Amino acid sequence: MGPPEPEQRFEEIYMAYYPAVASYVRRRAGSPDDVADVIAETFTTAWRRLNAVPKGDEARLWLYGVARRVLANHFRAEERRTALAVRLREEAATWTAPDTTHDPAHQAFQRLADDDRELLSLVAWEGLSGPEVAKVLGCSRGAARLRLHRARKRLARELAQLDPDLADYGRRAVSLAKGQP
Amino acid sequence: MTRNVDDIVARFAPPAVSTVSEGARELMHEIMADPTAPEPVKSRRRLNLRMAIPAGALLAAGAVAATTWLLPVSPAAALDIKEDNGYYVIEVKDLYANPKVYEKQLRDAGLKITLRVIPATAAYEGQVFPTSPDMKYLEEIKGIYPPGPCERVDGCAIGVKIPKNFSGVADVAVSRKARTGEKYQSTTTFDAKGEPMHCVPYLNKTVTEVTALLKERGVRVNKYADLTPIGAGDMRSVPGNWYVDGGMLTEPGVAFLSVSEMPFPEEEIARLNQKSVKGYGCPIS
Repeated sequence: MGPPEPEQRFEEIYMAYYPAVASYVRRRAGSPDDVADVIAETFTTAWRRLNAVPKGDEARLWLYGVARRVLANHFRAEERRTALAVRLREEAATWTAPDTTHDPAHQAFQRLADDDRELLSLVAWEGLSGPEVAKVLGCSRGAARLRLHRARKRLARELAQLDPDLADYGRRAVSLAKGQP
Repeated sequence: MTRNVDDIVARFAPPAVSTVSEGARELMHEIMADPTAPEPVKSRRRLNLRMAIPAGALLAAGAVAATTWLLPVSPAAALDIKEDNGYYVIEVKDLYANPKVYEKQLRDAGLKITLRVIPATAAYEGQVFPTSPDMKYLEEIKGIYPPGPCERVDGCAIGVKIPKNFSGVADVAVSRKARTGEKYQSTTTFDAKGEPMHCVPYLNKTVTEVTALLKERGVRVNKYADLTPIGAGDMRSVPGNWYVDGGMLTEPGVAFLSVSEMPFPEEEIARLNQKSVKGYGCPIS
């Protein structure tokens, strides 16, 4: 039996990883239009480069990497409005997000650099391990571990400056901010 | 220790998407209907497309100053590779060379780089797009952009610059002008900067009107798609009084149009016009 037809393989990848990719994009893109555009462009890339998509769960990390690049490029210079995903666009408009506007911890998180937020989000939102983060970011495991440690420390420092809500975050965050184990 | 910080971050996460919705399934079928089919498994030969940069283009004056020739330049050389100020400066001399020729030259220079020259729509001609094996965009590999105006989406590169200390593996796709009848491997909407309908109002005009506008610009339409939720997908022809909401060129002089029997809602038009004015400086309706 030969390899599966491109359509079959793409459909398997799409059905298996659409929720993960859509969650990733939803958590980072702004408007429903942007969400739909970025999801469409990510999977269009996967379709056109189907043979570059790794097998198994590595495909998810590969797709995160593509989505990350699409997000970075999407807002550069030119608008890229796709004619695809009309219905998805409508669906995305109904998705709600938790209101964290007045959450001081969220404000502290927002004050971090983009790279720090992305590292922390890949771990806390996508549930990735250090080596998996390294794959998405295209860096070594050691570099990912170090960058992640620094990002956590910077957030802990921001959180420690929050007063009087500090108690909410616990002593361990404060310890981290101070560089203690 | 770290768990505590991670838990705090976790609580900001908007909810996950847990299902493949109707809209998502529709998108999947739209993508598979894309005229740019996936590269076949053994298709490197098919991608034998070569270059991306105007043949015989000169390097920017600043980039050629004090260069050292690394390789003898013979009429057969597909690439000129020079050393300049910590960079390898690469100019594609033969846009249609066998990719193996590029590969050999790059390997001889000690670079683990694959250079692919792909046919692209006008907006992307000259685009330099370097990626790592895991599809990360490589910031350190850059196009060489001459001074002066550039009416394209992603710059008008005339060469590629790679840091001499670059030790990774990279795939650099360079987009070139397509030949007649050659399908684009990289394309975008027909109103993007550099495309025939750039700053030409088309949204909600009829198929007859837009087809005429395209004809004036040397473009014919060979396919239509109704991408609305109740749409019929790809069609060879549609009534002339249907409405156009988008389109893209799939090869030189040939376009596909996104159409609908119903006009676009007014409020949506206002929003898209606003986006277009912001991005392009002109409305689309």
